[in-house]
Amino acid sequence: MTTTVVHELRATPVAKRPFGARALRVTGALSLVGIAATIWLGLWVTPPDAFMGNQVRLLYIHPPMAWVAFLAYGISFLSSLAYLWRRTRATAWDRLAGAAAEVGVVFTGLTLVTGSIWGRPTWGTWWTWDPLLTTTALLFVLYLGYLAIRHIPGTDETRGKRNAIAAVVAFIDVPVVYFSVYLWQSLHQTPSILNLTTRKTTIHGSMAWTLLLGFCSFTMAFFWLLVERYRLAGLEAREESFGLQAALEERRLEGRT
Amino acid sequence: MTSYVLAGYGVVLASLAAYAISLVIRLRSSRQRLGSGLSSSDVDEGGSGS
Repeated sequence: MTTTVVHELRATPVAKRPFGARALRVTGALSLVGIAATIWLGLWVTPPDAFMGNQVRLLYIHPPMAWVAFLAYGISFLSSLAYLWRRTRATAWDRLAGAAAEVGVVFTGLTLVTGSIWGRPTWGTWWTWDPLLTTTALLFVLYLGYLAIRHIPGTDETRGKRNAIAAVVAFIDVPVVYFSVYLWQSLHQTPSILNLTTRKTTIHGSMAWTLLLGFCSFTMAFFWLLVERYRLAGLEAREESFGLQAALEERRLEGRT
Repeated sequence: MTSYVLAGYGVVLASLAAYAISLVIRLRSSRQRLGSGLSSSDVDEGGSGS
């Protein structure tokens, strides 16, 4: 009956892993240790800021969230370009773009929430229609739309092309978010950790190391989440094709009887 | 430490943990579904040759 389906499934290993499982486990463990150390340093070791007081502690997690979101969208954008280019077109790029975008949406949401929590005691409001905040909220909505578009049915190629074009269009907002603080009068500060024009950093000592650790730890956590989400996308595709083939077999059988 | 700071850290940790756990659960259940698909009566049928 479904013999053909089973043979095809056997031909492709269920747990095909594109990255080393050991490396992934190490990344996951390191990110956990790094995040725990960031929390400890951020909450109990680093001193309060002269102007912001204890609110500065939120800045050990807020900029890393935003950086990871940008990194995720960059990966999604490049993967989508790789899919759109005929020579490199492969379903794997589409899956990677989708996985990166989903993780990116999680981090964008956290960027908005942590920013809002920091803004309430510092700016006196949970939300303001500041250019950076508005374009970041738009980015969040754009990628939610992209994730919704990924569920529209169609052939693999149609869906892949549609997804890739949507990801490229959504990415246009990323440079707009970054340069919004320069382009418009913004309440949000310009980058101050490392000013590339003056080549000076405005953060020192334990504060600088804690922030650096935060960037590294959340980046590692991102890669762990990305690989797991990518694997899940592969398994979901296999399940989908398994279900489709089983349904076709059933229909053929019905036709014979 | 202010309640704002604690709320910020709490939201980040809880959200990332929830997302990571949901991924692991979905991965396991997907593997189980595919695994059970292979080891069910269908597989025995396939094993008998066609």
